[in-house]
Amino acid sequence: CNKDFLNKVNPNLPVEATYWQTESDALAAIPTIYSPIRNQMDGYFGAYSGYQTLNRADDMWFLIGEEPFTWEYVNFLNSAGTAGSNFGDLYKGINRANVFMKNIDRVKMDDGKKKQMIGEVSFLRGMYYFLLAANFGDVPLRLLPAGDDPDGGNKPSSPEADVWKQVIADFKVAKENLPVSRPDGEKGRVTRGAAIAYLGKALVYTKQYPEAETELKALLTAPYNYDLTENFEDNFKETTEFNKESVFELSYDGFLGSGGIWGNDCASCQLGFALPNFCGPAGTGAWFKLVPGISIVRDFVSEERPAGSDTRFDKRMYTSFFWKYSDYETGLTDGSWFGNHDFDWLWHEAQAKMSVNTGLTYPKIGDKAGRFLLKKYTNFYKNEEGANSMYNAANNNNNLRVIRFAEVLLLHAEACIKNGNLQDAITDLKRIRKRAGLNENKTWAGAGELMNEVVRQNELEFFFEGHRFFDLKRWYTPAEMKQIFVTNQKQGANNFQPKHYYLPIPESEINTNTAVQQHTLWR
Amino acid sequence: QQVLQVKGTVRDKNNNPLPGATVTVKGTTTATQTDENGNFILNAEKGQTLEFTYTGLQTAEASITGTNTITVSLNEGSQMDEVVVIGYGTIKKKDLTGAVASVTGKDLQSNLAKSAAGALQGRIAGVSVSNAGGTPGAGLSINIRGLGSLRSNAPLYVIDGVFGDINLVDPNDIASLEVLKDASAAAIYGSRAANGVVIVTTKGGRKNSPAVIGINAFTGVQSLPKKMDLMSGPQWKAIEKENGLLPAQAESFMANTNWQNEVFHTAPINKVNLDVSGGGERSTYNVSAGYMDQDGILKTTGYKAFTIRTKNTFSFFNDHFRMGNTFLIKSGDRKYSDLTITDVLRQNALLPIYDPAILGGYATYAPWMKNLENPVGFLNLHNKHVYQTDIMLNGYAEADLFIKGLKYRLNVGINRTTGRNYDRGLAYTYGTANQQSYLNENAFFNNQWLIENTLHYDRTLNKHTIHVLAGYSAQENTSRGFGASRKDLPSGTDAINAGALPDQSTSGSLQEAALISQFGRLVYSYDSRYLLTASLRRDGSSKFEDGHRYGVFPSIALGWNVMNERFFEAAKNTVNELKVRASYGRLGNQEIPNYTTQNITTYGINYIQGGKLWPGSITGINWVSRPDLTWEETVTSNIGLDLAFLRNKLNISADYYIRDTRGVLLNINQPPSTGLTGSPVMNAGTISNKGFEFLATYRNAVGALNYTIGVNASTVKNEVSAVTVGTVQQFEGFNPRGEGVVSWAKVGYPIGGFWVIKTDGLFQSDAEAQAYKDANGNVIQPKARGGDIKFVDFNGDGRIDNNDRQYVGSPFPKLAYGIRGGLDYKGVDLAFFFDGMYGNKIYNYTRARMEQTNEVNNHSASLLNSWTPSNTNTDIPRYTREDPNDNKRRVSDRWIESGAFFRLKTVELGYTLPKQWLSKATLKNGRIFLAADNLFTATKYKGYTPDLGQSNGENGDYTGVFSAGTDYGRFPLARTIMFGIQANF
Repeated sequence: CNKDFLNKVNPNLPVEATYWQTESDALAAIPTIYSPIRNQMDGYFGAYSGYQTLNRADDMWFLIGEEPFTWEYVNFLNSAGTAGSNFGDLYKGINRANVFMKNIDRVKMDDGKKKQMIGEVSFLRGMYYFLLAANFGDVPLRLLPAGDDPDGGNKPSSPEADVWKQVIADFKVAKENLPVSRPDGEKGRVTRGAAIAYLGKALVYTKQYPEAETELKALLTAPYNYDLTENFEDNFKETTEFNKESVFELSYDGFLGSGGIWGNDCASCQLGFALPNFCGPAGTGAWFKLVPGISIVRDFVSEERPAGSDTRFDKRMYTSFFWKYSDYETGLTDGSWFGNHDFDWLWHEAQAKMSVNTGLTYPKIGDKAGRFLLKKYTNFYKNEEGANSMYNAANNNNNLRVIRFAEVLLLHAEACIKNGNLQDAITDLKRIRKRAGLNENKTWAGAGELMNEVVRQNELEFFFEGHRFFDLKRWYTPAEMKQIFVTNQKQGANNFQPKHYYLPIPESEINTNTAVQQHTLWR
Repeated sequence: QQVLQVKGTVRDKNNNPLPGATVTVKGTTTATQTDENGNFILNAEKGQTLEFTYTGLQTAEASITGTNTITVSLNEGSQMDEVVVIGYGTIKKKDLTGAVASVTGKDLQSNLAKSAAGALQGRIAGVSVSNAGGTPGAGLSINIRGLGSLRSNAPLYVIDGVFGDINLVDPNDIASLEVLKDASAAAIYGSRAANGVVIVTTKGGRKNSPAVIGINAFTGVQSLPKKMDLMSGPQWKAIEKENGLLPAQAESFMANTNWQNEVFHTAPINKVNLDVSGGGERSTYNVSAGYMDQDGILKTTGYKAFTIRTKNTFSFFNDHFRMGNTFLIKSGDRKYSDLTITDVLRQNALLPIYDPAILGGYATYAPWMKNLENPVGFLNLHNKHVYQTDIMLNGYAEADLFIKGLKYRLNVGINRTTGRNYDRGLAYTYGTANQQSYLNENAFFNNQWLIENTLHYDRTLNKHTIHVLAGYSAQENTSRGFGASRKDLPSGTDAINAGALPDQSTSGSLQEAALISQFGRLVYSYDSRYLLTASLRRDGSSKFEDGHRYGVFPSIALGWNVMNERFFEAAKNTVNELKVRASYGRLGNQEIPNYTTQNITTYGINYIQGGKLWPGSITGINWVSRPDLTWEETVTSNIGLDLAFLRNKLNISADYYIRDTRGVLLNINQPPSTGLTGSPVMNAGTISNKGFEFLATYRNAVGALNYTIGVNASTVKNEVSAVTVGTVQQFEGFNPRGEGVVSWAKVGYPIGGFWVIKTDGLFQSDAEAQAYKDANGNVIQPKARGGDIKFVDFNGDGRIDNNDRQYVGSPFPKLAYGIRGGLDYKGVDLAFFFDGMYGNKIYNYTRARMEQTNEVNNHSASLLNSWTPSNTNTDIPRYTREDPNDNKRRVSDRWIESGAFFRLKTVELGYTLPKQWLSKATLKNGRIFLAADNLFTATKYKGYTPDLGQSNGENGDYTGVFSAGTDYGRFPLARTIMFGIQANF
């Protein structure tokens, strides 16, 4: 027998050495890199773990009795062993990007197209590292597939600052190589605008304001024609996807994939949007896991619209919460949803779960008790019985807008204030306020007041979009943050410690990676 | 001198004529063989001595004194003259240096053995044969000297020179089984011998003997020896009501179904074997056929199989060129059910069996009940078969070469398995949903070939005896399979094509593996006093990468026959045999999946672009092993002693060994930050087994009464002695339904040791529960009330959690033993075999599920004795649905039980028909027998059977190394009673 007799190559699927030949091989790799971020279950922006974990700030209230892990995060009782951290999922995206980068040189294809793909993959890797740095701080920086890395699985954490450097470098590559717009057949894939927006966001997060202002400003003019939608609601409906406000949007479709709702990363896995099922109120086919926090209600009602407006409150509040309009204002017809159920019915259904939550009392409005339920990201626009149940694929079709132009405006405003360019900041803020129906002629005495306006508008604009925790972290020290949580009657506020700025590196990593150390604050 | 014509008969110890025995005039070349009636005639001189020899039996001598006919009975061979089959040859037992145990055909004649593996059970010290599944046709779990690996611990089987599956061989066809236990004995099989080797030699024919037909048939019944004591419907209702838990809707349920009675039954078993053997001057033959038809004690299960085998030898050129073959075909139909046994025990007795009003016709659980299958419905609505045909072809050619004692042998073996899994389900209502009908079929095709070239040199020169072997072999395994499934088949159809298209699925795979080996062995004996065996084998496996694929496996063994020393002469009358053996060797294990180092493409990770599915595929997202992955190696040191006393009537053999498995092949969890899924196989640690084995047999006769008694006993201490990867020095084991890890592999402890929270009785009042405090005055179990279990706060932190686990034992027995006995008296024979274990623990998860009270299902009748304020003299906690104290917690010694047992495994009573009856029926010999299997078991274990080896995973069970000693609803072992006949024409 010759030596080849013992060389058995796996005949079941192509091995890496013979793959990566054609453009289609390279193109097919890209969806696998998007997948972990958008997984319907356990994806960072999916529903089950990620979206709940990242809404651990004071704008949300998690109802008792839900999965213990979410309860631990929001009450700041989590430990390295608490489930539900998306640490590993984010690294799945990074590994796949690294595999792409390792092999793309071997692919024979048009150079221009190749560069675009490299830009797209750089964007995704930058985004994954962005989310890791924002959530975990110091993390292992992997730019090679672990199997090719001499260290293998064992890799120490890099300082958070180095991770941010990689984030910015990746977004710059993305910016250079991505197209300004995509044809309809490529809708859902990232563009240069998304890269610039994320680059600007990373620069603001790292307090590099002059550069941030420059980058973000580019998105305010041609060739970019982003703008706010007239109706705030259009950012949360499946009928108005990829609108002019959408800078980076994740696609979902409940009809793609026959394998049911619980799987991720598999051929038959459903590609649906499960968030309505998690956040919708009781009685609507949903699991009703959370409601608005106390302070977000207070802050929404604190500034009423100018006299003569068609509604009493901030227009965004009508998309954010369900409530009974006639309790607090006149002239509006009360809404009905999910098969013509009125708010009283919804509120009644919610009581079994809400009533056991001690401390959850919304501020009174006038002499009426505050009664609110979460509306944003439910299927409120479908007046059907049980419309939030994910077991019906038709309910899982909404897209998630990860970066809206509103965020670009507010990030730009923040950078401008820090750079002393108050006028441009005011222009941005007025656009936000105008769409919300608030007084457009408001004036601010100096940078301090303007910054307070940025804080407030971020809170209201991005309620339940997972921004609030990271915004507070950027603006306040841990002690200040704790005080805000206490003042705002956030659940578990008294448990907040400096270490809760970060999530701990999970136990599963600590137990297997001999080189890594837990974040200093968590040791 | 006077030349006489000497006539005579040679018989065996049962007085049956022995055809084919060799009769030699001692010191001459004059020899003959006995005819079919055991008779011989030859010429010899008065005063000469005749020597009678027959393989496997003791040699006898008789002096020629006159013209009288000589009748000789040959006794079963003493150990000293036995020939033992070792790898690639045979050796006289007295020259053996390794730890080899052998079971010959005579011992195997126990007709109870439904499988060849079963024939090994309890016979050999250090060999554990235990129950893997219990369903008909399911294999047995065989371990030699403890668990060395966290992967396969199955020994290597060599059937007439071909690597195969022991289940291929009908026990009736076995001439001998040899178990090579230590490294020295097994090293010649290097690569795959780390878990020991079982050599199976099938029966052949005899030269110069006319055809003999043998028939062997039995019929019997199997039954469930033990039933779980469960609540009846009214009892369950009463206790639920008493505790205020009876769902209102349950009141109207009046059925009282005894589910155990409905799913288990007394099942017939029938087996018949026929063989014809004989031989001429230059050839021998043995052709056999067997058929078995066994129903399982679980209704709808069963096994049917037939085997056909032929073994031939041919010799030419004055016996200088020899050829031979074994051809074997086995075709079986195994009908099984994966009914979860715990569903039978937990299904509510209030549920009737049938409900003609719903789809399928079987009642389904009511909304207030725990959602469990209707066991009778499940059995009848699902139809699962494995149809399998195995073909094994072995052929060899052997030629004496020009130097005396030198021969060349070519051995070729081919194994083919083709089969089909068939899984058909009918539509039925389960709860509120309708289950679709389906058909799922998988075809599989396995091919293996083996070529071995060996040179043998065997010479005796004066006091030097040497055997030299050199060989080269190559083998390849290829498995291909494909399957298809569809749903919604119209009734009356039974083919994939009838199913609906939308939910169809297909699959297929191809696996290839190859092995190349070179090997050599030297066996040297000086004056039958000093013995040496040395061997070396080098194996190359396709499972490893170039540069890491070859393993070299050496061994050396020394033996000293003390009784052959001159100085021992005086003692030899008392101590008839005294041999000391010592060996050291290294063996390999490569039992990992193919292609583990190869990075492949993963398909089906999709996204959406432009509103349409965007199919994704990429390489490098699952862990593959590093290219330096290599052989798992087992180093064994063995010392042994063989002794015989009382003129060889008492034989004792004892061995002590240390067996270290290094570079254990194990899937090791990797950091999530690598972003890869799965876990690579790594060479990850060391597992050590130390053990002592003891075997004693005593044979004697009192008048016409012959009797033997044999005892074997073994101990093994298993320990994970090092873990070389990762930062946590332990691996998780048994974790029933993810409810809690109860067994572990931790450094310094046995594989599968149990770590649980200890219990300390029941709190007799709420006050007593609240008074249970730690050193700081914290109430340790704040939610506990009277009747709840008191758990031991092992780490003293004031609360009960998994950090309070402590080691409470392992599934390894401190002692495993077997006692065999046999006697015969004037044609009546009796044989019995007891086996037992002592010091092992069982995790009774089945009982945990029957006694947990938080779900609305049936329970053990023992819960009728639950604690109440007026029934405090009990160890059963209070009957509570909420169970706030978590009395049912899995990580608790409440579910750990002693696995000790003592069992009458088999007993057999036979009667050999007298000669005068036989002649009328033209029978050469005939025997009838009555036998029983699993007649009684003495044990405190509360489950069906304490015999819990590694499970095969059927019936809701759990598989793998860690499944030993865990009862996850294991299929109960049957008690079997049989009647049979054996006859030769």
